[in-house]
Amino acid sequence: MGDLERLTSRAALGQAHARDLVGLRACLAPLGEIRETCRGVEASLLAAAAADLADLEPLRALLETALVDEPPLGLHDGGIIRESWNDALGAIVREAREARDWIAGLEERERVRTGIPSLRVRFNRVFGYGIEVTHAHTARVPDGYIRRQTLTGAERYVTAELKEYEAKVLGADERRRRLEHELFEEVRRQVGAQAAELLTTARALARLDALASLGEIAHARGHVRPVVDRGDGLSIVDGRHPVLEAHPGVVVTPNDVAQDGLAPIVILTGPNMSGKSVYLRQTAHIVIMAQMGAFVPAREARIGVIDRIFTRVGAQDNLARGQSTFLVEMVETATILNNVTPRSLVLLDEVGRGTSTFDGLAIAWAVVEALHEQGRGAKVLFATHFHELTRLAGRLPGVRNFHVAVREWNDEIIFLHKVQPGATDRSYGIQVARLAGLPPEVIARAKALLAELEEAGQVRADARDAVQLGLFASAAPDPIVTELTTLDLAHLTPLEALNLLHKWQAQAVGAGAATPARAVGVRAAAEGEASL
Amino acid sequence: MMRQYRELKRRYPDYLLLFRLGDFYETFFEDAEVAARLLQITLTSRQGAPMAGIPHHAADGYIARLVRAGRKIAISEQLEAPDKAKKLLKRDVVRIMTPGTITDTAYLAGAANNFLLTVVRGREARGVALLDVSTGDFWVGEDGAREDAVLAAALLRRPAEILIPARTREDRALLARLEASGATLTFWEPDAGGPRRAAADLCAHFQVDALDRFGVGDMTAGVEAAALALAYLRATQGAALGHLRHLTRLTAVDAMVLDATAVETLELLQGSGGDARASLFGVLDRTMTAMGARLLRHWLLRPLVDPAAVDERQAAVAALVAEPARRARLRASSGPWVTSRG
Repeated sequence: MGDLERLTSRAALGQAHARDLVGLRACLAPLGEIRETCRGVEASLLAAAAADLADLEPLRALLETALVDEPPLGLHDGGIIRESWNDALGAIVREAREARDWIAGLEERERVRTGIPSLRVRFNRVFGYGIEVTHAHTARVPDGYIRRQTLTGAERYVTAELKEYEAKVLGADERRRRLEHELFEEVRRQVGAQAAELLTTARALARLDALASLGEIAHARGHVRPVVDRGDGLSIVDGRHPVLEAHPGVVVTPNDVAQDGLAPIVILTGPNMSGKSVYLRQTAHIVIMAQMGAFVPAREARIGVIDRIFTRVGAQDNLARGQSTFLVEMVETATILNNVTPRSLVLLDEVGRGTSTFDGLAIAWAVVEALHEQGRGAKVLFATHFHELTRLAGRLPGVRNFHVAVREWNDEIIFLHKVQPGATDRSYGIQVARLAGLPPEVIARAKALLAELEEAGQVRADARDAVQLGLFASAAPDPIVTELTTLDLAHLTPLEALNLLHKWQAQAVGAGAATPARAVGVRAAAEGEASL
Repeated sequence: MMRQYRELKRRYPDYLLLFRLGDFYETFFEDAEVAARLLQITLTSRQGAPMAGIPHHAADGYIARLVRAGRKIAISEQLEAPDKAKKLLKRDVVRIMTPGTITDTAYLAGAANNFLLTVVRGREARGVALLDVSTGDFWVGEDGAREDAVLAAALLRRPAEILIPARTREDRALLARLEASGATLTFWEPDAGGPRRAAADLCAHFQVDALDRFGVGDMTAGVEAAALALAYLRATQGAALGHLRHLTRLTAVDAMVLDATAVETLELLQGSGGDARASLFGVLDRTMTAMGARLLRHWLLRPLVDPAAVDERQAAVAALVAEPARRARLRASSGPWVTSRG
């Protein structure tokens, strides 16, 4: 079936070609059948759509009798309207055909009459019809032949009678083209005059088609009818990713979602490539499908209406556009925090990745706190590789931990793609790197470095307590700071200011050995606090 | 003749002017360079002026390619029959084609609407109208001060062309945002008449007493935006717009909000790598007609928020799941698409 909506619009605009109207005619043919198919349906939308199919049989019959089945592209060359549809047109066509028949028979008649076997009747765009006689036979040309043109090897003649018939043919063709165009415009006007009924019908067909499409998918993939209500739950049992499962040969692991107003926030941890992003997308897809009226890929689902889906997925995506990943990430995160409602679904994938580890962790931590506070029940799925975030579950009542299961085997990992309650404490980065095909020597070196770092981390952790103790016990303020805070800037000359700077710099350089140590101490403190 | 060309070009400065010369539409100067590049046709010259032409009998396809590349086209024809005496023929622009106003099914993507978006700043609100002249879909909405949801929802429908009054050129922030959508921007200013005149225009077109009938009687800037879209179509496509019979209110709250970021990251219309078949729409679309595909896409981008409405749609789907034979007959009757999916 063609695009009834657009074909109708073109007819109404006076832009439709003959082929458009033939296409429109084809759209109308199955209407009776579709009406019949819908007889007895109980679902209100189907019944309403069937009732909206207008009776367009008279229009279809008009188009059927008026237009030929395969009209040419142009509207000015004739060949569009059936000659049986209009008496005047029929007469013109007959007249032209008779004249053409006469000309077509002329060659044979003249050969017989003149006895010139090679005599030919030809049409030429410039000179029209002519009788060609080869030079060898020009002596036998009868009276009444008027020579028009000399060709290589032949002479061209016309006769008064031939000219007369030629005029009939050309005149009839011209009148036919003009009449057909007029008739076509009239037909197009009649279609345009029924644009309202046609468009109503087109939209009813669209509804039936879209609903049948949803039915087809639901049936083919074994989707179920979800419950969509005004509750605050988001519960999916054995949910599957609708795009992945449509891929032949892909085995998808079903996963559950169970969030409600009391525990709306999920921190999802797991190694890269384990399927965190798939889980996030799948949840959003199921919610969208449920609320568009489709069935969903799950064993069962109950969804309290979601008013908006916010996403922050994939830190690398915007690199190609030349924007700073971190900036984009923060702009999107700000949009979420400013607009989230208790009915929103928020999907965050590795927020905080675009900056340094400590900044990123601190931001991620603060974002979860803010969503807990301002979201007031907004469902949040936060996929992260910051294991420290799992500690939020113990501190905020609405936060729970889930992780994507991984099985370790001989220092290798197997992704199970299964989302389970609880947190993970390892990122399996080196194992993932091996899976990704990093050379063995690089993997071996990375492992050695990791062991070294873990040991150093232990050492630093021991030292950290001392540093922290030191920070709190010897709270003696820096003499430079003391001096700076008491300085009266209003009565300081530029020269005095420069002298002071010079003095402080000298002091600072004197205490130079201690400075880096202080910086490390502060960093360690920050880390220690975040992981409390 | 070149004087005649320049005169027409002066009247249509933003358009690529196709100048009818016998069996060809010729382009000159910069237009010729653009046409030669976009259509891969030969750039020649006539009396020193760069020139590129397309044969008139194959013009439709070439014009469609120019429009799809985002160009606006003005087509001038010879208005008198060629004469043996070599006098200058009368010529004038008889048709305007722009990305947001084309209707030819051969050149439009079947599964997507082809929208013209108009944006008008009013005193208190910003008006937004979305019009697909090829289907008769006509939406109108308004954002109040510091609101943005309706414009965001409209941009999500990926308009092919955005029309704004020339005075809006000064609003740099808005302009940058509209430009970022990738649509062709058109500045146009019919004789401004304000909201009241706009409402009167719309009432006259729809043959109603008041716009309340469409539930948009309270709008001002929105009504101006709708009237602007209608006036532009009338100016470019002629007066026969009788198939535009309804205005529908475009609001952001009667549907789940999915912003551009969500549509992209959730791969609703395009999978990773831009493959439409690997998107959610790609795996859900089993429609048999172009209008069915457009509607399904609309449902996907604006999921319902009223459980009763969801239930009603589910009931219809359930009935069709339960009766495979009826569903198969229904789909068979609608037949496979006859136009290309574009």
